[in-house]
Amino acid sequence: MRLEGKVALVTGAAHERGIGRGIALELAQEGCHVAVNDVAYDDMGKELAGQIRSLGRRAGFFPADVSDRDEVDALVEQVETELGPLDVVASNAGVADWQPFAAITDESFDRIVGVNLTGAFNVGQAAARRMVARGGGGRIVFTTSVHVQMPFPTMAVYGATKQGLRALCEAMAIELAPHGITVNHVGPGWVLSALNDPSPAVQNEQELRTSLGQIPVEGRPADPREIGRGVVYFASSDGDYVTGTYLRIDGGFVVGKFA
Amino acid sequence: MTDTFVAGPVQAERGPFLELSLEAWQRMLEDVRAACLGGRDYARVREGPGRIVFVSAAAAVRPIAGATLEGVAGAFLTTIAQVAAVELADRGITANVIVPALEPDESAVSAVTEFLLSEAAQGVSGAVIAADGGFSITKEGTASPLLDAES
Repeated sequence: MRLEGKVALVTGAAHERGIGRGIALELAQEGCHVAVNDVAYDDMGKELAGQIRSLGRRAGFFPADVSDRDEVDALVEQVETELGPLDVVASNAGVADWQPFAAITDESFDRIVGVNLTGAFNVGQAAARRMVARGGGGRIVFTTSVHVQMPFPTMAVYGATKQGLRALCEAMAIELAPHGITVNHVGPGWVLSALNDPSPAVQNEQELRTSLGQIPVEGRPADPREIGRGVVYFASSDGDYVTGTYLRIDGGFVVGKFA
Repeated sequence: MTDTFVAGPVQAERGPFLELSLEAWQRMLEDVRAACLGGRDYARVREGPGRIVFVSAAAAVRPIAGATLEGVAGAFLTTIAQVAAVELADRGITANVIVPALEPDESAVSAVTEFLLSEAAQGVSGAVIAADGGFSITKEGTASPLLDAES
């Protein structure tokens, strides 16, 4: 086990078909005690925490809305009280909408930016402040996307939040390195997560088959746990010298598209 | 001259990441929102060929300690421009990004803006063009070698 006894928080982790769950399970597999956060899906969150406890770790479900700073501050405090000082923070919570550029609604803009970008700022800054206050050391990993390298039609705001997150991660990496904190991001390609359920591709079987067929590795989507193993890499001692960078876990989707 | 939408340069409060206030973060997002939704409104009403230009921030391309907020804002608008570029191409509307120096040089930025708004740039879209005197390619503090050079 590469992370024995470490304490981790994973945001947006409850849903049974989400990347966050894959991250939480991989961290637990490697020895982490895990705080499972989400804004909804309480039953799934509690079930996941139970699954992690059955591996012999401490775990709990901690509901909070990451877009609300007060809730995030309370979340981090509660997790540290119940599980111990945070070593690893996987800021993963995200939402998406599919709209042509000219049809973006104000409400959709605010919702996506609030969760994906302000949520990550809230979680990243709240966690970093506590890590620094107790003398430094820690790992922060954001979930971004292949969108940081490729523009996807009908997903301008979602993609922009991920690009903003890339810049946030890089700036944090520079400023937090003197405190022994690394900051990185993982970039999933296709995952058949609940987030993608409303996407036009998932709604149309033929389109989905075509899209998945373009993925060089086995023409398949990622298992969320494959994304989780990227987070484990950044969180473990293997990642001691790695900060401000991006690990794309997409089965070659980006290179396949551009080839 | 083609009818156009130009927003930026991105400006935001500077300071150490750990000390950034939520209010400063929100103010940055308000500017980003105005630029993004302004571009959207332009795309809604513009019928013929058109031009969208976002003037981003140096820190969006080259991360700078203390310039987190403008880096996030510029990065955000870069993807907005590139997705808009893909979606609006068939209407002859281009969308591009200019990256200024850390301290934006107005004449360098306006020269590139003028080019992007011209007929000559009809085939340029989704591009990220540095008008920064070489800032993004140096590792020398805040220098912009070309802007700083004797002319």
